[in-house]
Amino acid sequence: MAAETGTPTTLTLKSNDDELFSVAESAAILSVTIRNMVEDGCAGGVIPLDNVDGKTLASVITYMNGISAIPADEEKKKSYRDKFLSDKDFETLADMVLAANYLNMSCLMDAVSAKIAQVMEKKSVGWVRRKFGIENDYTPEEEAAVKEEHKWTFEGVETDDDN
Amino acid sequence: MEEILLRLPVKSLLKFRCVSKSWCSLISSNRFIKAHLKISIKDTNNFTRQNIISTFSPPGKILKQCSLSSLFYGLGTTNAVDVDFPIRNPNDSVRVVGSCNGLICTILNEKLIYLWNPSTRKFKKLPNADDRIKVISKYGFGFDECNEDYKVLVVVSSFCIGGGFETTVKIYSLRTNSWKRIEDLAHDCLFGSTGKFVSGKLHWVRRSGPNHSARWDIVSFDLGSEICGSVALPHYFGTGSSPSLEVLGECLCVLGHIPKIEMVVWVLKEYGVTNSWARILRVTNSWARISSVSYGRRSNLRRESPLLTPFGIGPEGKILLMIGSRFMIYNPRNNCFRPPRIMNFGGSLEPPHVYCESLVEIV
Repeated sequence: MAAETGTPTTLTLKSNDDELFSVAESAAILSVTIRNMVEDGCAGGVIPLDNVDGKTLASVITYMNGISAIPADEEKKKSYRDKFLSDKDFETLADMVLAANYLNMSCLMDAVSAKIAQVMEKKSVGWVRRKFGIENDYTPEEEAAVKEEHKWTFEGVETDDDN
Repeated sequence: MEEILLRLPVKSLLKFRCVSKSWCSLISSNRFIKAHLKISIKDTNNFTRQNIISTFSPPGKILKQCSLSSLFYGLGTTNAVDVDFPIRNPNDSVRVVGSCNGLICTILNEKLIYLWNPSTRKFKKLPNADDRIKVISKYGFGFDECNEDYKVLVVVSSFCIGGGFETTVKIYSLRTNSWKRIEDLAHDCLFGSTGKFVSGKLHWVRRSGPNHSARWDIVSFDLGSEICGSVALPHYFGTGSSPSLEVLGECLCVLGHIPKIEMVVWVLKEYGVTNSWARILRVTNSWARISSVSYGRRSNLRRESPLLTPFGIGPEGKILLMIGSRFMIYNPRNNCFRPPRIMNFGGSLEPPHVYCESLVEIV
């Protein structure tokens, strides 16, 4: 209700590595997690976000400010999201998808998931295992058999560029 | 992780089954396949998961496809690519008669019916509808949600043992892999060779009354309950020449053509609500406006006013149409037509079918 007085309310968010950030309440409540805290009256002091580090939180806040400054125009919001994500590397995107999930921000979640999917689309199986830290639990014979089922899907795989 | 995988194209997902056993079982799970399909169908942001497929000249010999996104957003020129139907020799003719959830119902040599998923390249040949088929005159393909079953309906004429032939309606269930006879659907007044699948039902235009004062309505056949019903047409189509049906997006749509006067397209925006019929396009005799774009001013086709068939819907309500044998994009905002920048997609004989990429299995 503070908005009615004319002074925009500012919230202070704290990352898990103890960095503090000021952000307008109207932008921060894009996160359902933060909105619930505000509505429950738990946002008086500093809001601790235990699952997000400072670097990622700074990025998320840039997004919050940018997207909330755009009036209700889906086309413009979409092009802002595309531009915002265009220069992020895989590691940053991976951190952001976890943050978006924790903060419960569905629009960012959708956009980052789609962006990661776009990055990994043509990558090799080995690249995916390394980047996501997945252990190969197939025996060589089993893996060959699964591969053989859809051999044509291995055409056009990019050469790995991560090592 | 699942949120990300749901946004991958089918080809990548099939490849990433090799990542680990848990990825493989996730990607193969019924739940994941359904969620992925839902996203493919709703991909109204960029239409990359939706493709059009059609047969091209020489008649019935070549299948080609391209994505809807390349038609609407293609900046340069788009190339349609040949699709290999998995089982055929070069002399076979192939025709697409229906599409649903990424599966395509295909007819080989006007006789053999195949269900096919072009995204996974899996297919299945259906058993024959009858031992003594003379001709199959009508087809319908769709999904029965109650029983989670894909079904094919045919109107088939078969030779009788004593001579002559009889015409029957038969329905195939993928679950039981068998055909059975349907008694309730009167086939002799159905118009159009393929039934249109919308909202769990197949639809045909139906004529009642004698030739000179024919009345029209739409007959529906529910693939779940296997019961016939009807859908009222807009008043515009009460009598006169035969309307024809198409599907636009997920809506039933009907075309009317009064030779030399006008062509109209109506869409049933909300299934089951007669009031929701809306006219979305009307082309009057100033047909030259379109045909001069597509054929050049001196074309003979201009005088013939070739039929206009909508078959796909894109961003901002733009409509993909076939005019004669050419494609056009109609923009309702400025009431203008333009040809999509696409190479080698000319000469299509029948309106293409739109299908979305899916992992749906044919079992």
